[in-house]
Amino acid sequence: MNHLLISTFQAIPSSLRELFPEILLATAILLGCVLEWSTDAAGKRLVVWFCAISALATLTLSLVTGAASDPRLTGGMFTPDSITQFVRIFALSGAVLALLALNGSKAMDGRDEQGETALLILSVALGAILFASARHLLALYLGLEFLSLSSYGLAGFRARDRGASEAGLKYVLYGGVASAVALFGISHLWGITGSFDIGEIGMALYAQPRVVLVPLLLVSVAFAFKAGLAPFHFWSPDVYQGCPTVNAGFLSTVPKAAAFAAFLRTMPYLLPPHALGIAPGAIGGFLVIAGCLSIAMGSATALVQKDAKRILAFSSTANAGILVLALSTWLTSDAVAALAFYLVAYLLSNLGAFLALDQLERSSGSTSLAALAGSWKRQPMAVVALSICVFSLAGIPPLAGFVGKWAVLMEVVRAGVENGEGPLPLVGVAVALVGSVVLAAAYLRILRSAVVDSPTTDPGEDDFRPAALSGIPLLLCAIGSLALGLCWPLLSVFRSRLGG
Amino acid sequence: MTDDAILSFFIFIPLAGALLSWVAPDRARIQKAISTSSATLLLVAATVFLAWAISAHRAGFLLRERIPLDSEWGISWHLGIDGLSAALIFLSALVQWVASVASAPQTRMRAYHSLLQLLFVGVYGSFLVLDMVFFYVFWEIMLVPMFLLIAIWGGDDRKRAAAKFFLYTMGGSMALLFAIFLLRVEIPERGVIVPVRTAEVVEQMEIGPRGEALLYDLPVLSIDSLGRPAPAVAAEVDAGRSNHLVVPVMRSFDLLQWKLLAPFWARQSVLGMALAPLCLGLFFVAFAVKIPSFPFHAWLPHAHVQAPTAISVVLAGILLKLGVYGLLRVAWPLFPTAVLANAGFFAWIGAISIVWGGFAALGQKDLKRMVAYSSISHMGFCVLGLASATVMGISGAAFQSVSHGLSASLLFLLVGVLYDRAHHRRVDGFGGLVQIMPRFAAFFLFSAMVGVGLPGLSGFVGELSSLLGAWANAASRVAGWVSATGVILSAAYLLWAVQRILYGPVRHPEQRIFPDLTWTETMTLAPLAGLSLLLGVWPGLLQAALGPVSASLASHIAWAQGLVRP
Repeated sequence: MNHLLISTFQAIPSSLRELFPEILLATAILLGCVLEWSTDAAGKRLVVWFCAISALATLTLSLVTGAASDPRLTGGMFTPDSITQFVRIFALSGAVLALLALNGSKAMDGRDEQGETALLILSVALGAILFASARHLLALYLGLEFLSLSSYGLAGFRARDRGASEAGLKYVLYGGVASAVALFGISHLWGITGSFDIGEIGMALYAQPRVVLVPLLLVSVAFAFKAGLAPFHFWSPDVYQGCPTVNAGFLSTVPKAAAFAAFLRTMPYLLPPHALGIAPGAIGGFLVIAGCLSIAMGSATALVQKDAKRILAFSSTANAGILVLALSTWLTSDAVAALAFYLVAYLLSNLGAFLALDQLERSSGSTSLAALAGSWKRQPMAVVALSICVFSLAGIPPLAGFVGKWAVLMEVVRAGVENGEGPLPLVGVAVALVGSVVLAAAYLRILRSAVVDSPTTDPGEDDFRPAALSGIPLLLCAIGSLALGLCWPLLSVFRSRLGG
Repeated sequence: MTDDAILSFFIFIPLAGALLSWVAPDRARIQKAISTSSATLLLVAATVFLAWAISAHRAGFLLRERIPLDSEWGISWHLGIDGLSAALIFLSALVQWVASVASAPQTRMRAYHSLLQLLFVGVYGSFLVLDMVFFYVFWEIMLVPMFLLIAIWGGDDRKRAAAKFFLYTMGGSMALLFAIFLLRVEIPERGVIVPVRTAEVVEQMEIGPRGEALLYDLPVLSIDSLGRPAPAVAAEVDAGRSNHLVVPVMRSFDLLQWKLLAPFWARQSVLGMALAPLCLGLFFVAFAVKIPSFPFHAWLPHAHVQAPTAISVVLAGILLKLGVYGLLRVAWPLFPTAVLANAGFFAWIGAISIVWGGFAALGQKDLKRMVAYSSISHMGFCVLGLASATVMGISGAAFQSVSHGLSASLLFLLVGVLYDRAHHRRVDGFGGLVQIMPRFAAFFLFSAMVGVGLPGLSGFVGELSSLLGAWANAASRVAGWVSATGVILSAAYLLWAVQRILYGPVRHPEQRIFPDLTWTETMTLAPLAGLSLLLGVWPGLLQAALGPVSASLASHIAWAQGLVRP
């Protein structure tokens, strides 16, 4: 034990280079805190700028550093491999977009919370990276808690706002229970196998009876909660509705990607297809059923909502369900590439939709469907961007969401037909296709009020002056949703980088 | 033949027009000028292609262009035009021109005209593209503009009608998507070697760079003389040693290569179910929604009543034809044996659409609703003709598509004229219009006659050929006899409407001030009416383009049946 500790400590310095992006991000958060304390309300925009620039710097650094060649370098706790690299780029790009948009958000402008929000966005990004890169169950739990605690803050720290308080409280209660259940499962796994390292646990699991499935199920609750999967998704509509729109957009994308990346990393070890004395297709079949449940619940409830943010919240559950279908294919390199592409498309389109709603909120005052009526007259460009993002979410070609959906569902069909996993994957695809029609009906309700309906009230005088460049994130999301639809080659890039 | 990019212009001209409309000023004259000139340009090009197709009189592609995009997935930018697509492209361009000229939205003209052109990007794309990924893309591209065009510029209940249209069509598209996935996954990694029909090789063969015989960019091999150059293959064809030719087909989304796989699909099964009937069913659902065929027709009357006149014209004139085109180009060639096995079923679907649509039209009080139901009835003849899988039936279905495109456009334009004057469309709200608007009355009577299928007009040719085709096949004979009543029904509802609207005393004296057709209205009606007459008296003109393609499809079906179930 002792010499293991020594060798671990010896390994750390040489591997620090691999963790430079995380270290830079953590330093920036601490510096940002100091900056936040030392500025008054008028200077909060400065904090946001600082955070945006540090996120951009970290993004650049992680692009320069690249994925680590040997994942063992960091003492086996974190693995800065290509999956981590993907989450780094994903979370930091999301953070940059959200931070730049924060300065243009009327809901946020000039408020004290602006600086804190910016810092929390950075720490959610850091938490997401740690969560996704953990190879050790304790590190995984730490990452999860880092991510969750920052998310609670982002959702509900606006204490005097009743909606936000409700959102925060709901989030904390749900999240607390999910974390506790996961911790319970982790302790069982440790008790059974005597290790926290997922590789070693995976080895040990081969010799275990079926009862080990119970702790695995408990751990996966935490993933399901973070990914917003049914039946652990009931927090999301209230949280998205209650918290500022930009925050909601960020919360609906980055933690979800982190959860799927973490699942991607741990699943091959913890849920090996030919172990535990169960049929090889059983776990895949379970995942298909879980995915179908999310798709069905998400799309059906999205249809009856009266608030655009709630529609997007339920739709995010349905989208997560489609991603679980991708997981059920045993992660061929094609399926991983499809999943990654879907996540990128979802980031651009969903964040874009939230950013557009944030802009529309400027004149409508809320994101309820009734208030959004006639937005095309007040902010035509934002409505065009909203339409592009929402149609992309609905999977209409040639937009980004279409390619993602195509790639994912195609791999699921392949799993059903080619890998001989039986009819269940095909049923899953059928459910996903029906679900996407229902979901399209829900999205159409947003567009109907924003694009088609006539304004019910006179647009008020809009004297809000957003900061420079604050329209850029929405523009980037809309252009990205459009351009990514033509970027099929990205799939091969993901396949070669992430596959295997 | 593969490296010229003329066909892509059919997709890029309306796209450029849509962008131009979007940036141009929001003024009626400028917008209409952009829209009309883009349509005129396309109409000229389409006319040239149709003339070429008529004079070439062959089943093969006049022009194909193919740019491989992703070898791993097997996706390529593959466009092609043959007699069938030339005829439908011409019809599309004509309808686009009519719609651009006839359009008169009062608000948001920039958005209107760019969406209208964007819609046609999808239309031309679907008619030309020969790769299933892009087929699906173009198929879906049509949805969004059509939804917005109905939802923004439609009547009082436009939002519900638009949503209904969108959801029905998207539901159909999902079936299409599922079928595409299944088929793509079913092709083995190493590819398949399939026998080919000799006539197809004769019709479609191209000579590769090294002198080898190519069929849809795949080398044609002879079992006896693998890898021999083109002349050797041609010699074998001449010698009539038909079942010696094979083609290796690899994994791709290429529609033509999928057609070659027809004997392969017929023998495959997926999870214990036969693949061909399953995928044929999925394709049929997708295309039947568009046609629309019973039982997927409920969206059409609603959408038509709410859509503005020009959009109704596009919907009836073109969008419905895409369903028939999908059956002709995708479903029927891919699964010939499943088509023959289920010919009776499809024929009855057609017959029910014809009779159901006819009776429903008879009961309508709203003129536009009546025309909408008559569309369901008339498009039923296309399904009936296709179901028979005979040369006569298939070419009848193709002819009926074009003919209905003309007659339905005429009727919707005329109903639009009435609505423009009277602001209502109730059949009982008019009377004796022949005394007030003689030119309108002449066009209306003429269009009704095209719809009724009067000999000498285009409707007669399409309906009669479809019926003759249906009677020729034992499986569809009874359905064919039942469908024949549809002709009587269409005479009943159309002539009854004509009688109530045009003749009798002027029942509403305030209608005496209605002006007759304006110059613009006449200009949009005249070419449609003229073509209906021309095709009625000289059907051979269009048949020169459609006939060889239909005959080729019919013999492809018969050949595959003989191969799989000798």
